Amino acid sequence: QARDDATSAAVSAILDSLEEIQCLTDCTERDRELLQSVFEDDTLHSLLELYDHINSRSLSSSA
Amino acid sequence: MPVRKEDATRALELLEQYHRRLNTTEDAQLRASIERVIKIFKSKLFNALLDIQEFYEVTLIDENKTA
Repeated sequence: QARDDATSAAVSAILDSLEEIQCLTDCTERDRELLQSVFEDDTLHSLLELYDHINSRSLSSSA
Repeated sequence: MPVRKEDATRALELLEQYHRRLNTTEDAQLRASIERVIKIFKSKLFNALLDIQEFYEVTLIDENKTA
């Protein structure tokens, strides 16, 4: 599904930019670890999949 | 591991800060990706899913509470 792919690509892009995020924000080492653990978390990935699934369903049923 | 709401909130704060500091003309793809995630994290649906997950972790998996 295209929507799921776009969201997981977005999460990968964030994980790839962690160092830059740390440089550009007032983010501590601990914040950086938090971002990494949040975006690498399997549960988060499941929630995002579920989000995309529900969101695309409600869009298609209202169309 | 369950995702804690406070962690998701902090992650959202940091992403918004980063997004503000990104150059508008460069990094269009990256900006779009971050906007997508920010939008999801702010949505009522995603927050409801986080709540359900949290409730599920603390209550439904604990057999003492569901019995």
